Amino acid sequence: MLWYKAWLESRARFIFCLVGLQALIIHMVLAYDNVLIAFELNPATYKYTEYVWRVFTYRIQVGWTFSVLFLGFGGLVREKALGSADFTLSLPVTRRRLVGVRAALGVSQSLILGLLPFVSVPLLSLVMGKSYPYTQTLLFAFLMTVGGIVYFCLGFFLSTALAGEYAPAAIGVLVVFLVNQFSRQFEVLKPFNPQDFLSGLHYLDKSTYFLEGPLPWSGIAVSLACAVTLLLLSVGITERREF
Amino acid sequence: MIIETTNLAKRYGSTEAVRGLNLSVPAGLICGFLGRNGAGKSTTIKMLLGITRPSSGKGRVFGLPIDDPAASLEIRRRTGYVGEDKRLYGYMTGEQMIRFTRSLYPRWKMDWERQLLREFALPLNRKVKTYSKGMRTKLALLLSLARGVDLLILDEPTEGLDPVMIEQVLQALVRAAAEGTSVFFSSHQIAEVEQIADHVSIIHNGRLLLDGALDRLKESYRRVNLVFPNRPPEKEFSMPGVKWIEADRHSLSVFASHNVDDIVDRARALDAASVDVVPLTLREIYLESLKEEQHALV
Repeated sequence: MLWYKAWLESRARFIFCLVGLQALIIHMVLAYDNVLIAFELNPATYKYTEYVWRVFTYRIQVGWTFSVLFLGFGGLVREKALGSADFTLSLPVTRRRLVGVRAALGVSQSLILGLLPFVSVPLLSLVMGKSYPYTQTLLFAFLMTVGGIVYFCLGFFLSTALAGEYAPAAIGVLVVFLVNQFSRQFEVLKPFNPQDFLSGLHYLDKSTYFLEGPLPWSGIAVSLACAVTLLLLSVGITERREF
Repeated sequence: MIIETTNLAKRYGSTEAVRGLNLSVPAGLICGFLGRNGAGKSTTIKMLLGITRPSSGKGRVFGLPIDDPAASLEIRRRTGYVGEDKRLYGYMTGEQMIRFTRSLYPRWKMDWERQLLREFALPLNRKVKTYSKGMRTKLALLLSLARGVDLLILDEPTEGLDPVMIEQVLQALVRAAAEGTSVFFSSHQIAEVEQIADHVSIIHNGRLLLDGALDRLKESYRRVNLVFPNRPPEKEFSMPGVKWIEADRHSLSVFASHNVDDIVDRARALDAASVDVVPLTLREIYLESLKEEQHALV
């Protein structure tokens, strides 16, 4: 039943993110013709696949990132602010389990959000009279969610480490923004830019705008290691924190 | 003893919330935990349940150490708790709160749940965040009382309730105790404690001020009012059992925890014109004990 509690606690945020992200996907895919007109792009030279890649990189990925960051918020520190932490902590459940269930549910919700573009983009492309392969959206979605789950873990960690209603959100958004900007400023850090990494820029065939070659497993592994570290830190902090 | 603490202390920075508390609560009884605001009641309760960690000292509930995570889990499995705030999950309905809590306690008492639901008349299909403070308190009490646990730890359980509800809650606590559940509850309402408690522990400034069976306390504590023809011989009453003395022009008021017969004999030997032994209510014992503590501090 801890799952039930975690679900009810995050349900409104999850549905908000789900609807928001889906609306963004629908809007962006269906806006293709308008974008061509607005930017005076030639459909013969401006490939639909390039458009989809750009939508993934600059819209869907950004929307997903902030959605999962948002999903990471909550937990015992928030409950303390709302006054229900004492009730939770008096239950016969370890703090580790409380954190674990919330983290597992949040990761699952993040993955579901990641599946949205995988399913929606090819379907909506058909509506637009275009075709876009599921294999490619699967690869983009995989890179975005598995490589980017660290953003959920960042939100989770911040809401565990910081008290205050807005502090985790403000710092989370700032960290995402700064890491992206900072890694673009220096040539040596450019390969580590999260946005480029999650959009598969370094594995993109610029002639087709499809991902080619093996997935960047080492980058994914590093990202997952960061995510796990943040979760373990969250467990440690929660176990030691005074409520 | 179901609860036992030895030199239990909790510091928050430079503030000492609990200072060397030595508490012993017998099993199978209702124990009232009295103290002023900020006396350290809630901090003590939170330490007993592992919500906050002691800075030093030891504590045991059911004989299990409160600072051991595995033991603390077992303590919480066998304990029902109502916190000071009585805030629950605002995003759940009353029914969802009950279903969720019930799932964590295998010995959940359905008959208690049904009876308390009848008595409390809670709107179960409404979100808890729309509940009034009284409704939240009732729901928190239901969630605690129906757990089928060995010990109830309640932090000001009747706060925010009307007199009729307070009576219902007190009767429910008596019923729980009659079924073998130990009850440890903090309160500002001395009359409530006096009404149902078998044992009383009074805490002041983080230390135990007074502790014992309520009947025994009420039997042994007395105020001896003495009138003398001349200036009262205050120093003559520095004897065992005398907690403190209040002197007026011709009279002395001696607050004693025991040894009243010797005090009376001494007064008669000193030619007291009037000797009046007055039994004390719990409220008076509590207030006099606080005065004694303040005298000691001065």
